[in-house]
Amino acid sequence: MSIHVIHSQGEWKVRKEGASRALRVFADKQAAINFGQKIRRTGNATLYVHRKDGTIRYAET
Amino acid sequence: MRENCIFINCPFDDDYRPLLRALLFAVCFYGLSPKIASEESDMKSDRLRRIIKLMKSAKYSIHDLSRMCSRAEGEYYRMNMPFELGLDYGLCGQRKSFLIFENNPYKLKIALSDVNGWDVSAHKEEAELIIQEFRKWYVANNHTLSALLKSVSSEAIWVKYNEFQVGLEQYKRENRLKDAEISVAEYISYVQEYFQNG
Repeated sequence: MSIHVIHSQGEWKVRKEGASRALRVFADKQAAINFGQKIRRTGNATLYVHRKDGTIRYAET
Repeated sequence: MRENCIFINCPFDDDYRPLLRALLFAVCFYGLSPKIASEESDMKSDRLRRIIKLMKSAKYSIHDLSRMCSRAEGEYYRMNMPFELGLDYGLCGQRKSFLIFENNPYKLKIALSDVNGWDVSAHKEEAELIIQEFRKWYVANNHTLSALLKSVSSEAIWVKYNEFQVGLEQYKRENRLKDAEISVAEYISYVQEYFQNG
C-alpha cells in the first residue's frame, strides 16, 4: 500500500494510492506528514512525501 | 492537421521543467500527441521549417509566453515564443484552437495587446495550476471529447501525476539517470507508455 502527502489547492492532503478521496486534509505540511507516518506504521505501507510541483521529496518504508 | 495533435511552444530552462512535465502529462492523459521542438533538436539550420511542420500538423496549440519579461537587469527576454505564436496564427489561424499561458494574470496584454479576447491563462509557475488551466481550455474546445474524459477533474489528473512520480523515480534509479538527463522526447515516450499500460 502507498500513502501520498500531496499539495493541492493550497492544502496538504494525505491520500491512499488509487483512492477517490483524501484521508485527511491539513493546512500544515508537517501535520500532514505526521498523520501519513501514523498510517504508514499501522498499514505496513510506503509513505511518499511530494513537493508542491508534484515530484517526490522523499519516501519512507 | 490532426485532431489528436497539439503543438507546444514553451521555454526549456530548468525552472520551467516542472511545469512542462506536468503539462505534458495532462496532454498525454487525454491521448493527445505533443508536437514540441525541444532543445535537443535545435542544432540544424532547418529548425524553423521543422517547427512550421509541427504547427501545421496540430489542431491545438499551446504557447507559453511567461518568459517574455526579463527577470534581472540586463537580461534579454525570450523572443522565440511570441515569434512562434505569430507564425502559428498566421499559418493556421482560424483552423485551430489556441491556449496562451502567461505567468501572472493580465500582464501579457501590457506587452502584446493584439491577443485581447484570446484564451490567456496564468499558471503562476505552479504545476497544479498549469494542469487545471489546460484541462479547462481543452474540455471547452474539444467538442468530441467523451463524457467520461470530460468528467475527470483537474484535481484527479493532478493526483494521478503525483502518483506517477513513483514509477518515474524508479525509472531514474534503475537507469542511474539524473533528472536533467531525461530529454523532453524521452519523458514524453515514458508518459505515453505509462498510459498505454494503464
